[in-house]
Amino acid sequence: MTTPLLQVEHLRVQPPGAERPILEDVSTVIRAGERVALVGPSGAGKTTLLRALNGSVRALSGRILFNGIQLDDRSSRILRQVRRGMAVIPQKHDLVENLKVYHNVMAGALGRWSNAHALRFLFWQTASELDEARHALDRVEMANKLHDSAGKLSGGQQQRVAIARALVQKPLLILADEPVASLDPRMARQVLELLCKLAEDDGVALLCTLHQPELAREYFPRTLEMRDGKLTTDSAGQAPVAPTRSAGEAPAWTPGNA
Amino acid sequence: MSDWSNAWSTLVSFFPPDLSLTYLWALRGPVLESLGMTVGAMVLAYVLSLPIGLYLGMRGPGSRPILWLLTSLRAIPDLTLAIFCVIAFGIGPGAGLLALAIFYAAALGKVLADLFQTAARGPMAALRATGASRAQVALYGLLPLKLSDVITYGSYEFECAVRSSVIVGAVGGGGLGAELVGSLNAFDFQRSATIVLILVLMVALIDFAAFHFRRRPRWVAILIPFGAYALYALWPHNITLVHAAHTIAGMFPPTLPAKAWATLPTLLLETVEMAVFGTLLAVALAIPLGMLAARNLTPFWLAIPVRRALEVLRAIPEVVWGLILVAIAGIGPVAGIWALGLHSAGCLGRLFAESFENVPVAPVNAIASTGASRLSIATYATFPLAIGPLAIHGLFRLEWNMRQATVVGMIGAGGIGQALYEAQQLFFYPRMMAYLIITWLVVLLVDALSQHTRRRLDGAHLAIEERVH
Repeated sequence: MTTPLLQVEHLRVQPPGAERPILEDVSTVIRAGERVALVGPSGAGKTTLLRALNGSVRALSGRILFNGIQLDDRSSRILRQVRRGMAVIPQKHDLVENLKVYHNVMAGALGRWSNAHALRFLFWQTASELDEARHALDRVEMANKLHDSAGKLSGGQQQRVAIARALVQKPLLILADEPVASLDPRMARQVLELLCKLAEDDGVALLCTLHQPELAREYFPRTLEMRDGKLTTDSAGQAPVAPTRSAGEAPAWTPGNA
Repeated sequence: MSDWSNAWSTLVSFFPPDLSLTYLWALRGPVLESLGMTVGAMVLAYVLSLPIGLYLGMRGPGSRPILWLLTSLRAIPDLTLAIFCVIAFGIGPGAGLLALAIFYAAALGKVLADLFQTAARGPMAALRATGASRAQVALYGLLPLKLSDVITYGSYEFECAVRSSVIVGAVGGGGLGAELVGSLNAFDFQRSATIVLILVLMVALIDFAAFHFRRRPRWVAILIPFGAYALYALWPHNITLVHAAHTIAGMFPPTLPAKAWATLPTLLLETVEMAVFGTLLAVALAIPLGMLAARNLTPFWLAIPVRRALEVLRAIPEVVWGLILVAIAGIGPVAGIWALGLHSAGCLGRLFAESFENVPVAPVNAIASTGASRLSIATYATFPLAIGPLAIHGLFRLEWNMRQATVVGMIGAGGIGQALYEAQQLFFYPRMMAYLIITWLVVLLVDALSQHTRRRLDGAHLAIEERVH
């Protein structure tokens, strides 16, 4: 539980043509199985940080180490290897709506399937593969939608399918982008409870961006706060780059014997 | 086997193209004739179709029958019209020019009418409120409101007309088309290859010019003196309406002998088969080619040459492919299927590539974020997301190929087109007229069917969109 899983060192992201960097000198460490909330006002760079971790946004400088591999988006082999270990739950779920629910769920396995296997599954599915998809859907209480078309689901149902896709990926880290942004408070709690429970059951680390600091405090042992592209506060007390106020009022989780 | 080796040795004999200066210089006449035919016919077509389009746009009295007349004129394939004009006005570029002018006046009239009918209601009502006459409202409201669309669609039709000018030449309309048929009949295949190369270059040049006309519409004016001169120089000089009327009267009443009636279902089936298999071949070629040409799926060093190859496939019209393939593979529907398939593959390849490029980015990123390979991303996200537009483009193409199947039939690919052409060659004009009317009815029927299907498809598509948003 205590080995560093993800190390981010002096990460700087500035798209070509932009006047100022979106991320400036971001450094942090996330350990295996840790649950971390990333909070901050919109436009602070939370989503960009998630996308940079995943190699979807190119870093200007700095270093990302994931599970002992240094992320290098110029090598598609390394990029795929890193992505395989990191499941993304996008804010808008981003399912492929013309495909069935089971296709979307098992898309989580594409990183470990061969091309031939992937092509075959599009047209012909074995019972054990469908069982795997059904099991993942069962954990998000959606098993009855296995054979539905993804485009027919409601927004909330699509989110659960996106979560099931992440589970099938069997990742070491789940990156969830604003999973409760558009939900009412009661639904938001339900989704966060589900995410945290799933992560805990599988021993997966979870990094989740949130708007509401009170939800972060309630569900996450550790909170990172971002402002203007910089990490300003880390409730775990690990020295952030430029602390603007005293770190962590109630650190529910401490690094222990890190 | 010997068929294949024969075809192969014929194919090889097209290379290298005859690029000697003497031959290229000798082609200047046919090239100018084809260009003159195009520009002259298009100037005439614009002059005729603009007032018609404006009148229909204003929904003047009698709009419905006029629109119906335009639709039915447009349903006569360009090659058929050319045969007709050659009979009525004699062999030569004049007949080709008139055929092009009639075909594109009808096509443009319909397009412009559709455009003008969608003009914003507000400004038009305001103009009418000033007490302006119909013509004034058309000039001050419709035309300025839709000018950029008129130029865009007009230049697209212009690009099509260049290709058509070669097609009508093939049945006695003069220009490059006549030259191509001559070289093929003389088994002078290296020169045929030269002509095809020149055609590809001409289409590229017109593409380039049309692109600039769309950005600087005023430059279109330089075409007017050129077109007027072409009209003057190429106009059929011994045009006698009495003779033309007499010839056309000789085609009535259209009659088919009993034996021809018996073979009619077979002929029609052959034509339909040609269209269906040609379209299937095109789709089978266009899916991989479209993926290779899509900038979001393929690195640019591969996508750009594939795009150029698609442009070449597209620049050579079905009839020209047909002429070449009949020379290579012999007379019969196989040549027709390949002729439709290769040209359509060029058109569909480009449309498919655009459909792949227009796929929403987010779901593709979501699949990529699982560590999926390029091929898996393409098959699990890009392809399923593009399937709707792909189906619509494919259906459009099937409709188009139904019409073109009769046309490539005329140059030896079988079906009803070939029967029509044989009747014309033997001067059996009443029989030719009968085939012409049957083809025309089939094309009208297919148009109506496909419009119905597309409306339903669009409806289904919209229903899905509504549910999502």
